[in-house]
Amino acid sequence: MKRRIYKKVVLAHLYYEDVSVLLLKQLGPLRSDDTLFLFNVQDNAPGRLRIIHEVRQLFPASLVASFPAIGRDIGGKLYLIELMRELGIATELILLIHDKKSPHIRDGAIWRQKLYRIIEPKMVEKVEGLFKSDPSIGLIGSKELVQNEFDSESGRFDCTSAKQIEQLIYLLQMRVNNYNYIAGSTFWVRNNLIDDFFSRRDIPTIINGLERMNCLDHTIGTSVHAWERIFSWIANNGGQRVYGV
Amino acid sequence: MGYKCFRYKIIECQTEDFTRSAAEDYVMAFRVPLNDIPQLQMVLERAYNEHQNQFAVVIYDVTAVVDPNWLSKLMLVMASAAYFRVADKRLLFLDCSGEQKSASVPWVELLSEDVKRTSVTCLPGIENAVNLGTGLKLFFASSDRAFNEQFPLIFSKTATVPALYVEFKRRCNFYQKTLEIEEALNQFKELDTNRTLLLHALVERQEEIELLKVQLEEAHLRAESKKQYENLFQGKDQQQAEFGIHEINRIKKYYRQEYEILPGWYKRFGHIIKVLMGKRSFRSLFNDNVKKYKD
Repeated sequence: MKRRIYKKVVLAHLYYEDVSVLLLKQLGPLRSDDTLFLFNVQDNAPGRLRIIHEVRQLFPASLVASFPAIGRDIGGKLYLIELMRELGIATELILLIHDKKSPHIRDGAIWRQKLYRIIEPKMVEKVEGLFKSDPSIGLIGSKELVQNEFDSESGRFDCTSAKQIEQLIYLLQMRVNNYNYIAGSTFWVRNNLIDDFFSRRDIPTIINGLERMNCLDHTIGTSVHAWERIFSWIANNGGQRVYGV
Repeated sequence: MGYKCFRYKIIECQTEDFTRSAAEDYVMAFRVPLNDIPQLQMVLERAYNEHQNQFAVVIYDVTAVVDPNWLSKLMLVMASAAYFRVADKRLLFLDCSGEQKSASVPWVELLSEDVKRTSVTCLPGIENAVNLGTGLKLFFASSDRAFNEQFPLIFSKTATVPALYVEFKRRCNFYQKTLEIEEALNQFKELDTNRTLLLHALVERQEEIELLKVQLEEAHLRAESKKQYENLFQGKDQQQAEFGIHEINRIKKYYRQEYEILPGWYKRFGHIIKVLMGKRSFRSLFNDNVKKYKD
């Protein structure tokens, strides 16, 4: 199989028609010959065909899929990683992103601005420079969204998904010594970390363990929200660190 | 005239060069055996390379026990935005012989569980015949392979408009068939003008209904999502809903680190300072029932 090599690969999950259009416009400046875009327009997204049309207009060379509604944006991103691996696409950096809306949060739009800071052109240059100059950095997200819920005294996670996190760390056989993560699962990450992690773990099995359709973590924990943390810990598991810009 | 059909060409992955121009308007139907991962890999690469053109998958040797790895790959193939859909449902074809029905294939249910919006149908499509009561003999018979080697037509129960199924009495190629269909329809038009008009109206209505069904499903989804979020706002977790769980966690952590970890005697001394500064009432140090702080 012929391997296609890119400098950057953007894996974007889309669901909300209005925010998707905004995100696509913001991703526009990232277009270049050495950047490949893979989009997942979730299968049950209202206005799925209109979103796909928009993607085709703005990113004619992109690869577009519609995966089932499993695990919200986390499931979508995992599917895209699987697709990328199956298609033999090689890259140095991956951007994982989705159309953040959070209708349940009063300041959802502010959240989105914080998340999308890392795709501003100047910030992309900075991110690339940091990855080049500092080999200890494995993953970069917005510094305002770097979180850590681990209580070292009790050895427990201070969030509703603590139980799911502990189970997944065990099942995935992860070794993590710093639990910093990027809330919102939008970040740049070195592909070798992703490649190494998932070469020993079966993505379809992981997706199978995620919740179907929409799910929130305000009262009970979910595997989806546990994975929101675990995605960032892939860096630490691979001996590198999470960095905020 | 009111029939909905799609031209398709069966592609044998191993032997055929399946390039085509974007102008060629037919569905590429990749014919692959069950559990053959290398052949499905070829389809996968094609599916995302020629992403502007519609394609479908036709599976043969369908009765064996399915390999989960093959099934996962099939799902990636079917996830392509270019995968052939009718009424927003993917159509997966099984090259079944005789009377076999898709429901009798054990792995079909397994696939449908994960890949929603999928309709599995057997080729040839005689089982899909729909009688519209138009007076025409409504069957589409295409059981011979020679017929499928050209550009046959896909008719399906899930077609967005009612399909007229015409029985062909002799073997002929696709172009002859087209003529035959046209001829049959023209005859029908001449013989029964009223029914033709009604059929046209029916086709238009059916298209509207299909569109409304999609819109209704979207509206249901939006309403469900709204309800879920409304419940959240009205429930116990209003504070979390308003500020976001990450913000709450940040504040909790700040409180713990800045205050909670201090020794008890230090905290108690702090309360005496509050009294001395006039921020707290002296009596509240000894009695829980008196007002503690000024408003």
